[in-house]
Amino acid sequence: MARIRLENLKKHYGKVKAVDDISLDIQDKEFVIFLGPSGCGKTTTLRCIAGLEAANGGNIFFDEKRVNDLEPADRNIAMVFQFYALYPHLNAYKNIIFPLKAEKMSSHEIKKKVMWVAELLRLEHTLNRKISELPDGDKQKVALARAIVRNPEVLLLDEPLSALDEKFREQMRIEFLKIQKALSVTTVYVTHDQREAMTLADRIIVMKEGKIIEVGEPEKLYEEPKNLFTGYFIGSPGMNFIACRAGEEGNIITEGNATIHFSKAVQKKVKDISIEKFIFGIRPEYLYFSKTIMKEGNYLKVKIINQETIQQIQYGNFYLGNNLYKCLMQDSESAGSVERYVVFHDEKIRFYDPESGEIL
Amino acid sequence: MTNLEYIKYARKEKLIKYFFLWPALIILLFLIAYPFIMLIYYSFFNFSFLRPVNTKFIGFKNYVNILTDTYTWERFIFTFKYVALAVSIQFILGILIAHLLQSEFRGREAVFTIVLMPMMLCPVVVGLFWKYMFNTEWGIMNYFVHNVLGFNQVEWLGTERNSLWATIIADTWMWTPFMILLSSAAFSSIPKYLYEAASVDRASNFFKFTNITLPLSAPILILALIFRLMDAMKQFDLVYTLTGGGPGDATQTVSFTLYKTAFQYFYTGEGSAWAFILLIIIIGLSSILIKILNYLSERNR
Repeated sequence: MARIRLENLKKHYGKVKAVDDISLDIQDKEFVIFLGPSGCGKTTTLRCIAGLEAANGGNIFFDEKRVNDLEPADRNIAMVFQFYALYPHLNAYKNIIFPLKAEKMSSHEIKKKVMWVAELLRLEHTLNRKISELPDGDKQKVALARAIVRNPEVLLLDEPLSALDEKFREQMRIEFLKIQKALSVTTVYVTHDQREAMTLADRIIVMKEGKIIEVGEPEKLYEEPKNLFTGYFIGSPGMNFIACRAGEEGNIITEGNATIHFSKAVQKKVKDISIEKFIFGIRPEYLYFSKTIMKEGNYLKVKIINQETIQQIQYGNFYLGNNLYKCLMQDSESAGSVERYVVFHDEKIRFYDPESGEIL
Repeated sequence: MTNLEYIKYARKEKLIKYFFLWPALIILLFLIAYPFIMLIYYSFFNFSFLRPVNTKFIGFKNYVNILTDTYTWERFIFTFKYVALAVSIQFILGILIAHLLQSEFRGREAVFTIVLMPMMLCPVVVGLFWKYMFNTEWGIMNYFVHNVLGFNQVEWLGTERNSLWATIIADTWMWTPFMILLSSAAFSSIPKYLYEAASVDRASNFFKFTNITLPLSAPILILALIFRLMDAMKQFDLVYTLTGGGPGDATQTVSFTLYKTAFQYFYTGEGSAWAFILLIIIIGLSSILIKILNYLSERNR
């Protein structure tokens, strides 16, 4: 079992900084997920950890051992690739035992290991089949079996679900969680799907343009993103970010010149903000439509444009200036051009610096 | 388009199709089918091209004569020996050199081009200049053996055993590039991520080569082997210029014997029988290899 430490890791391709000076500590047995849009450097980081790419700078430690100059084979890692990378000329069984044969394990041991892993992943019926005959979900299961059959110290997964259909994804997600807990292996997982990250990870590492934007537990990143990008990328729909400036009495004026009225506590906070223009952020799930205003509450008057259902939850859309924002919608609410108040609680309100994207 | 118009149109289409098809077919029939049929036909006659009179149908006598003659078997044994040695050396050498050429280094492309050059030459030319290089008195091979290595001069083309090896060396020089070319193509068609997966799976380079590279490139390698086997079985021009079949009949391949029978002694009927026997052997060998090829392609799919 191993702890992974990245220290100022850099990987450049010519002028492109794929991984731009990142540092990170991954605990033993932890399940961390690198999350970010394509081209953010998450896969490159993973490949550096695997040893498939040589870092241009910085250090990678497994426990206290610096592994930068070690071959992948000497790092005691296992990896699951996006497109399985199974050996096409071997059947499922022979694919799984490949790493064991490479280690010259005795055939008795090999058999025991395969029985164990096949049972764990419920692969018994696929063992003798050709890879090309397997459904995609089973292919990725075989790839996972090949990865864990050797009990590696570190398990690396490079977008393992992105090539699968939705129905296999759900099943494999559960499989991953089960395996990771059963083996308690340090796991680094790369994905661009925030839902995967939210359901699987102990900690999520949000990356953008080669840099780590934010690191934290899924709930933490969801509830209180320290950065605009995190709020935008995590959660579906993403967070509402409303450009605004301070108005009278600690209230704020949004784009489109609407005024958001705050409670006393929030007004105090707004008065402390030193910059002129800032961003007000709140998740659509924490906004409610209301016909009336509560005393001492937060509210904003809007016109509902239409409604939209995202993952079985209904949202009402409204405009501020030229931008569309979302608000949770109760069933009873009627859609289409009606005026409503949008109300919300103090503790869900976040303010951000538009320059740095950091929370205020 | 009405029905009638359509039928007219279709008829015209058909005519045009034949108009384009027939010239090529006629040429093919004339150049391949006709000689082939005549070959089988003459193999049953004691026909001589120079003495067309007294031609008689003699049934399988040509075949019986050939197959019961110990001389024939000597020729076949020599040819098989030569093919087995030359082709397997080329096969192994080609794979190894192609494997070396897979790694990235400066000037790789230039080396590749130079390595492939011998293949582009005409076999007769290759035979001729190897003949000069093998010359006992002033050939460069003996210069190397004698003046550089300090051994006695070798009679390269003078003894039975040496001339076999001289032929193999010249043929290998010429045809290893072919194996390199096809092996390289096979190797570079293997996706890189399989090697990455294997590195992560802690496979050594040798394990990767034997467990990924070779099995996945096997269909193309076998195909290359088929080409080489068919070609080597028919070996004629290189031997003709390099050793002239000598010393004595020592390096006389089956094709060479066929040539002598048909065009020096002008036993056209017997020569035809020779050719047909050779054809059958090559088809037999190839079909075995094609079976293997199909099996391997199916497995890798």
